[in-house]
Amino acid sequence: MVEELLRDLRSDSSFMEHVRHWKTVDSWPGEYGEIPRFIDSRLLDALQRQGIDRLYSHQLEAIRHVTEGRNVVVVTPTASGKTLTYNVPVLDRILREPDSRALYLFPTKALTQDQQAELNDTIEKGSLPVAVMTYDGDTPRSIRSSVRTRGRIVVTNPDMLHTGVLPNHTRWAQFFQNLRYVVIDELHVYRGIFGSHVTNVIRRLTRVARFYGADPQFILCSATIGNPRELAERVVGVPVELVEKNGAPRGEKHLILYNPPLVDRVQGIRQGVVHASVKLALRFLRRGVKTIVFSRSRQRTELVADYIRKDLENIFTENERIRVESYRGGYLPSERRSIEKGLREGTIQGVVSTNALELGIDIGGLDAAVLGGFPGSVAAALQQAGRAGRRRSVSIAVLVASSSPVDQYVVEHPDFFLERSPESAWVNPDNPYVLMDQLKCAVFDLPMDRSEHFAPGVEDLLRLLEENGVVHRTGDRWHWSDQSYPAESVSLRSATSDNVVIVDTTDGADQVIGEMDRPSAKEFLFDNAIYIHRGTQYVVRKLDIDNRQCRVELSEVNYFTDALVKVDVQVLTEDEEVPAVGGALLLGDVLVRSVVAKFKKIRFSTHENVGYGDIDLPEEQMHTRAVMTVFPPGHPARKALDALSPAARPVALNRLARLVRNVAPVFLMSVPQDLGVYSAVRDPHFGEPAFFLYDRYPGGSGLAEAFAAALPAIMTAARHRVTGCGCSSGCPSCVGPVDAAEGWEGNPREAVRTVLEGWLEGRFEDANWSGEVPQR
Amino acid sequence: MTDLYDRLRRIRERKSDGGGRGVRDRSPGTDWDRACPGVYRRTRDMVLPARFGEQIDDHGGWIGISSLFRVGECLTPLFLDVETSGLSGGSGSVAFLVGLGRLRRREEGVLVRVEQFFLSDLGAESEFTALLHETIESAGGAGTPAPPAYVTYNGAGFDLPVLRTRAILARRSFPEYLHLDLLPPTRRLYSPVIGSCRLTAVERRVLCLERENDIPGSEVPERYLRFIRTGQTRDLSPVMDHHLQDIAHLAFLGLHLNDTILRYPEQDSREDRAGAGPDEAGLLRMLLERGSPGERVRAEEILYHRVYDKPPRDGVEWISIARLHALVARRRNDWNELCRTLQLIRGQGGTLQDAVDLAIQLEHRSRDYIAALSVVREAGEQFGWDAALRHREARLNRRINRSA
Repeated sequence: MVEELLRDLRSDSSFMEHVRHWKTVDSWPGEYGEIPRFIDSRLLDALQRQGIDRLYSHQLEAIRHVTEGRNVVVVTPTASGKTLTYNVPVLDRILREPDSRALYLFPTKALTQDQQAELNDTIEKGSLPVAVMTYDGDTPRSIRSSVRTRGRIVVTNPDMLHTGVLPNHTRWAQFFQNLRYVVIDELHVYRGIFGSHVTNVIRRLTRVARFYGADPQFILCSATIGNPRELAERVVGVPVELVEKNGAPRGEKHLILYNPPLVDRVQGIRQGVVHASVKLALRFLRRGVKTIVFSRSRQRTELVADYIRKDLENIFTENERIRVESYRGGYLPSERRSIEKGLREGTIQGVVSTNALELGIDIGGLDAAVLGGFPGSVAAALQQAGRAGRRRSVSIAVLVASSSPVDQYVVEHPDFFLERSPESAWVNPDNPYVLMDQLKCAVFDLPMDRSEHFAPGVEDLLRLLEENGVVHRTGDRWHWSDQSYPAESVSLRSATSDNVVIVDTTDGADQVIGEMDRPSAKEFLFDNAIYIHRGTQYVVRKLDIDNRQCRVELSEVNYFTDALVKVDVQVLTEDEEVPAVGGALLLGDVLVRSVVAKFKKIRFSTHENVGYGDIDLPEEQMHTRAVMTVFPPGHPARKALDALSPAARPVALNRLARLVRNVAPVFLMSVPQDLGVYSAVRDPHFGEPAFFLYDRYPGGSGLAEAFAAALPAIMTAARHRVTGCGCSSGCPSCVGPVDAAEGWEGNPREAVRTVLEGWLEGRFEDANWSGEVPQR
Repeated sequence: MTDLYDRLRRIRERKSDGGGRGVRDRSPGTDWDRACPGVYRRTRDMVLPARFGEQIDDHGGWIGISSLFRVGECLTPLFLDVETSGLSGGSGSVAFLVGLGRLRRREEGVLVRVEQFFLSDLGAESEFTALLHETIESAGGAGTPAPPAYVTYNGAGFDLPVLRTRAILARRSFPEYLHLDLLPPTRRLYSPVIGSCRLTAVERRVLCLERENDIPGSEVPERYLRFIRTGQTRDLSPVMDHHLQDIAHLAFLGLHLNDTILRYPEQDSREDRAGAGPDEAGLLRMLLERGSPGERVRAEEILYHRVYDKPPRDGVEWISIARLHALVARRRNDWNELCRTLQLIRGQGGTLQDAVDLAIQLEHRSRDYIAALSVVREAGEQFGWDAALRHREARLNRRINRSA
């Protein structure tokens, strides 16, 4: 089927015309080795019964590190047999020393269950005397105590470790005393704010294990990212060996970069990603090719699935017996499980998903992946593309570029995507908000000694907690002295544990259909907003921020809504000056005030603007980390800026900031939404023109620091974008088209180019404003 | 939340006070003795009704314990109750007040001697735990004729797990003894009668005890933590008294339950006893399940009389007793008696299940298909037809036709 489809695509000139690159990755037989002799014979036997009589080279390398007592991180693409890299050494140890215990951590409950099923298969085939037990929110109370005492391998997720296991570690005393291995799978997911929390949870785990005299080894697995070892060492806090040469075989794979046709050459407007993805997906599905479509937002996921289903709609052929589902965060777990099952069992042929399905959730083999827009990072793109194709069959992945600068950069620089090593993942476990929350939990777990080095700067935080009365100090020790159970109110998945519940109140109903964090709710769930959930359209009747509730009702309008956010940034501290190409950057803390005051109504299908509405919500304030770029007098970029007309200056600066924000995700593991942007022709703090990029998570998730490190590449890519774009005076793919509403109708592309080139000519000395910065 | 940074800056600007203060030795009240820095104790004698005297021997042992409790005939009870600094459990909830009650028989009556241990500084917990274990071990150590046992109210779910956790944190092993948790038997005997079986409800409705100036248990953590933060003892004394009463009432309840079971079916007719009696069916069921052979025989006899001698006063209570009697008949394979009882139950109302049970007996034991069919039809009319009932009706019709 896929072969036919490939022939069909190759001979279709209207398709091939827009293919910017077609890469065929040949099938590869793989590299194998013998299973080491020292492995327990019962385990060898169990593996043989599963048809495994040799291992891939990377599995062997990992096993060697582990058996020699080292921590290890294994970089594994999809379907490379990563589970054996940890199951073999762990099972071997438990067979030899039946008291040993291992803890497996997966980022989600769904993965936990998959993993237990797979392990049980090995164990049952070999009748191995090893109890593998899942401990998560779904584990019935009646068997929890048996999991604690009998489980040799306990499979759980970081949230459960954080709220269920660590605060009750005394019930797990036997488990911790004998804890030999901690397995952390899907390491790459632990980045940003989630990773920052999880790093602290691991700090707590290590601390509790030490209390019981245990010093477990870590085995980590990660998808391909730029800095697996660095991330692993940051998360687990000890040295880690890296295994990255993959020995698994793979089937032939076709990677196609597709740039949809321009519909307006002058303004540089292309056919939208939504339409192009829908068209491709339909073409694949109708040929019987099982297809996954990735889309960049929850809203788009619903749109794309809806368009596909509408197109297939035909009562005579029962939609050609093709069933397509949407899948994203915010669905109830049972809904998700049933979709996953349908995909595995083949009752669902197509799925449209956000990155929620990027993770190793088992949905069986798919033949094709359509990436509706560059997902923001090479690592994520590879993961998404890897969803299609297993070990032997031919598969196809198509990246459909949007007109955004990142996407255009990627399709125009295929080497970048295909040759370059992917982005690095960052965490900021010492974010004071995160640390404060985790520190409470740590003191609850065990009193904290002053001599413990839990994290830098904890003593100040402890003194603050002491002042609030939640901890109490005696001698050099802090004890928990509050009646609350802190883990309960600390969510690992956001800097603030503050969610709005979405309630469907249609016809007097009162049913919870989902939830959203508070700051996002202000942007997406304002009164009269259109909210789409599993293809069903709702209108927001009332967003009640105080009670964290949003009441919605079914609706049938022909538009969706988009909020316009107004932002103001105030510099609080300048912590570090980072030398960079063109000058220097400042890293520091800022206060971001944002208010959503208006929204646009956008018609489905045509995406034209059909009206505005007002939003009446209080201002949102956030203290976070930012990178500040200042244009001091004498710097070539300042000269270029001053050479522009006064009306052009704010436009050039703002467009430059947005361009930088938009290309940055190519080099950082983030999406443009993770970074906020702000510019001012005369910033009140510096008294000079400046633009800021700030982390959208309170306290910062490590992005500002990552940004500073990647700046040369980002600025260079921005210049490529602005000089190499095919438009004449700005388009959505570079700096944006001319917009009369900004009060200047000159050529924004030209203006940004001169300022940016000025910046790149600059030297550190030019930008070294130390001493000249007016002090507040 | 934005001011976290400001607060941190303020903290940094303030000079560090170097090392923290050592253990603060704050007495919770004048009637408390200091055991070691940060740990206090006091002993109180609480009087119990003299009628419990026959259950107590000269060494403070509890004797003549009903087999329903499954702890043996005699033991040395340690009535145990724990107050914690948080109600949601976990290693951050500290047991700051632990009480141990022991029985004493005196000429003037019976009493429970309660020893309370109080942690006045969180930093002294390890010493606190050591002292507590020492006391427990000496109370249950050699020289006591009957084996020591903890007697608690919900100790299986709360007090003992808390003490085990605290022991692990102090790197000690908790002295494990027999354990009698009074909550489950109390629930079985009284929840059909009084509903909620929280200790305060049971002591009021069953033991007819009233507390004066008591505080709700939910206020305890807050009061203790206020003491930890401010050092003010004002809020503490109601906590101490609440805890003292908990233990006294716990001992009272244990002795009362045993007394009630042993006397059954004799009614307590003393004038001072106006409290609720146990649910008779519940008590009989417990006797049948857990009683000694003698108690079981006695229970079966009582059941027989309750079913046939007295006219059913209260339909609901009579039916539950009759069901129990049916159960006994079934265990003995006495099918005639079973059938007779089920018919009686049917005559008094009963549920769909009672009717189905009767129909099964008539169909499979007595092979009286016509009688079975009429029971099924009546039940269908009365309770509504379901698939199983229809199925039964059809089968009975077939059998009747076949035999006809």
